[in-house]
This record gives sequence, structure tokens and C-alpha cells, in this order.
Amino acid sequence: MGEALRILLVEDEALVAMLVEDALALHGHVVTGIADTEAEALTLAFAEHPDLALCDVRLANGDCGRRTAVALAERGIPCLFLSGNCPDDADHPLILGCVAKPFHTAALGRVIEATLAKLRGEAPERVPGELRFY
Amino acid sequence: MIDPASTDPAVDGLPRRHLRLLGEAADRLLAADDSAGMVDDLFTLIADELRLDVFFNYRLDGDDLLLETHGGLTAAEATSFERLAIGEAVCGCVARDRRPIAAYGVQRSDDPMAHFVRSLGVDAYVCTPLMHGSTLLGTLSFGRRWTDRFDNDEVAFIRTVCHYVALAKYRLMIEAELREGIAVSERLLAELNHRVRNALQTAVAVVRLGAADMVDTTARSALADAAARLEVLAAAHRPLYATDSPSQVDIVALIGSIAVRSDDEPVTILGTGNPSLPVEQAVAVALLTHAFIAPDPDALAQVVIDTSGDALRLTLSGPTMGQPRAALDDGRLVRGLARQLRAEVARDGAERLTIAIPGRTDG
Repeated sequence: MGEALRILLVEDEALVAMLVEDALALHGHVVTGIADTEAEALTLAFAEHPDLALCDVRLANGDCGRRTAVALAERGIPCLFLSGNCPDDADHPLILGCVAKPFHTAALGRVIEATLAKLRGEAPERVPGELRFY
Repeated sequence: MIDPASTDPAVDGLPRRHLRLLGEAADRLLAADDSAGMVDDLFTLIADELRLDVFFNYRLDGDDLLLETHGGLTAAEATSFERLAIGEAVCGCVARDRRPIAAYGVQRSDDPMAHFVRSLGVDAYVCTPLMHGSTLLGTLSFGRRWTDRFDNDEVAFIRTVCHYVALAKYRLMIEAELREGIAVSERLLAELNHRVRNALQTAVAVVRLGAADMVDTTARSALADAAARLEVLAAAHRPLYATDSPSQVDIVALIGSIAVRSDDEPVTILGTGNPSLPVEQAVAVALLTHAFIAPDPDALAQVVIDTSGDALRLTLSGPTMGQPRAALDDGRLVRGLARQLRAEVARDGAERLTIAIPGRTDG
């Protein structure tokens, strides 16, 4: 098991959020909170200072996940999109990539490992098919 | 008033310089991408030759004519005649009757229909309906203040130019409709993709969370298996979202995405040629392969996908892959998928399991 990260989930589908939370916990990571709006994501980010955020592109109340990811990245929090419709590019250097839904639950651990390597400036050993770095 | 539609001056009789102008007008109209701008350019091109002072181009807008572009009018004049009812003024009558009108000696006329052009100081005026087949697109008119008429060659020239303009406007209209249709389809497709992917993800979550809540280990295992198969199904469809040939799935990439060991040791995937299958077969191949891998994923070391010969052959190698597993090999899932694929499954008793699918395709 690699380094344990504190991860913020920004996801409006409750069941998907629970699935991701369970999968991340299985790999030793800690989900610091689950938000489904931009405001909630920023509040949780401010309170918990997560190492990484996984952010859906479409959020509750019509909130935009891309804008939320930029806001988180501007606060120094690296982000990965988690979306059925991955954006082609990122609007901030700390938005590192996108995990395409539907993903293999078991692949989430490798997604985080690859992202961690990227954050350290290393080449990831394995990048799961679901993950595309920008 | 005379009606030039009653005469039929042949384009062949036009002066050579008019024919040259027609050629140039056709070139510009064919290349145009702006309905109003192309008529402005056309007027600039022919105004000197035909000694034209004004032009108006009305577009059919609902039940009215809307002035789309014009030349030789003040802004106030244009505003006052910005919208005409069908049957109102010369252009309205041309639109109503779908017939061109030439109005000569307008300044001497007291015809109320000519009030608009008379108020502009125009003395000779030709208005032509812009038609495509039986569809009215608008009208195009040219006028002179310096003389009270056009000769037959000039009228023939103007009618030909108006015919070109109608064709060009129709082309632009159809192109705009096509672009809008494509944009609507693309938005719909993107939304559908998004919904399908999210629905699949939610389905996986429902089953996995259900499995986690199960106390009964058999039921939990069955639900976990179901969730894993849903993920295989999702993996088989994933390439479709990112390819220009959505009917075919890259089998090497697909098997690579499902041949994953729990201990994270790499599985070698070797492919010859560029094996691909239609999505329905690819889904079945993925589910069948997964069925053989799932009981002991860490026993898998290598998958070779071979398209030589007349079959797609997948060879799964690993310490126990070739050992018979009667409950699995004779189970409903394996038998059903193998029948669907017309596949032959063989274990060598030791380290190799082969799935041969006849009539394979490759990309």
C-alpha cells in the first residue's frame, strides 16, 4: 500500500460518492468530505486542507465542476476530474487529469498512485485506462 | 409598367462584358459565406457597369419581408421601409405573385405601389423574386435615378444575377440548417453518452454497495461478481466513446483493461495484427475472458491475442490457467457466452487456456 492521501470528493451522485469513498478507503486513503456543490467543496477544502480532490464535472444545483476544480486548484489543491464526459483540457496546471466513468472500482487505487507520482514529478509506473493526464 | 417576365431575353445575347461580370459574380456567390455581405459585394461588382444607384434585398421573414441589406439609401430611408407586408409596394407584390416587375418612368407615375421607390428619387426599377423551386426566399431590386428605364439586355443580366443570388442564398440556408442539425445531434449524443456512462457507474455503485451490506457471504460474492461483470461491460463500451469507428472495439486494449491482477503484478498482453471486433462480440469476449480470470486473477501472467488463420484466438497463460474447472467451464455463463461467440474453449491441463472465435475480424 502506498502513501495515504486525504482526499476531497466533489460528486453529486450519492451512490457513486459512496462507492469511491469505499474504494479509496480500501487502499488506505482518507476521504475528508463529500461535497456536491461548489460552495460546499470550497468550505470543506478550507476546513480540511485535502491533498487531492476528485471532482465531477456536473454538480448539484447546476454547479460547474470545471469552475469548482479551478477554484480548488487556485487554493493549491490538485484535482482530478471524475466524469462521464471528461473535458479535453484543464483550465489550471493543478488540474492534472480525468478519470472516465464508468471506471473499474479496483483501478482507483492505481489512479491515486499514478497521480501521486505525477505530483512528485515522477513518471507513473502504470496509468490505468480510465485515467488520462492533461 | 411592363412585366419583363413576358419576354425571355437570352443570356447568350448579353454583351461580352456582361458575361464576364456574370462569371465573376458566380465565382463570388459560390464562395460566399454571408447572405447579406454577398449581395453587398455583388452590388459593388455590377453597380458601375449597370450604372445602378440603389438596391434592396428583402428576406422572407415569417409573413413579411425584412430588409436584409441595401445600398444607396440613407439610414432613415432604410428604417422606414425595413419591413414590408406581402403585397405591399413593388417588392411585396413581386413576393406575392412570384413574378419580377420592372417599373419605368417611376417619377412620372402616380401608382401608389411605386410610392416607396418614387420617394427615393428612383426612376427605373427592377425587382425580382428570389426563388428556389417554388420556395420564396425574398426579393432583390435594383434602381436608377439618372434614367427612366433598363434595356432588355440589362434586365436579362439582372434576372440572371438574381437567379445566382437565389441559389447562393438557398445554399447558405441549407448549410446553416445542416450545421444546426449537426450541432443538435452532437449535443444530444454527448448528453446521451454522459447519461449512459453515469447510469452504468451508478449501477456498479448500487451493486457494490449492496454487496458490501450483505451478511451472507454467498450473496455478497454473487453481487460482487455481478458488479465486476458490469464493470467489464462498461470497459467494453469505453473505447466507443473515443473512436472514429464506433462499431469496432480494439481487443488488445479491452483485454488489457480487464486482465488485472489483485496483487498489481503486470499481465503481459501480446497482440498480432490489429484485432478488433464489433461491440456485441467484444462485450461477450470480455465477459467470457473475465469469467476465466475472475476466480483467480493472480494466476494470469500473459494473454496472447492472435488473428492469424481464420479465428481470433486468445491464449491465457499462467500457473493454473490450463487446469480444468468443471463448475466454471460447464457453467451457464461460460456455455452461454461461448455459444453466442461460436467459440471453442480448450484448456491444456497445465498453464494454457485458449478461446478460439471463428470468423474474427481485424481492423
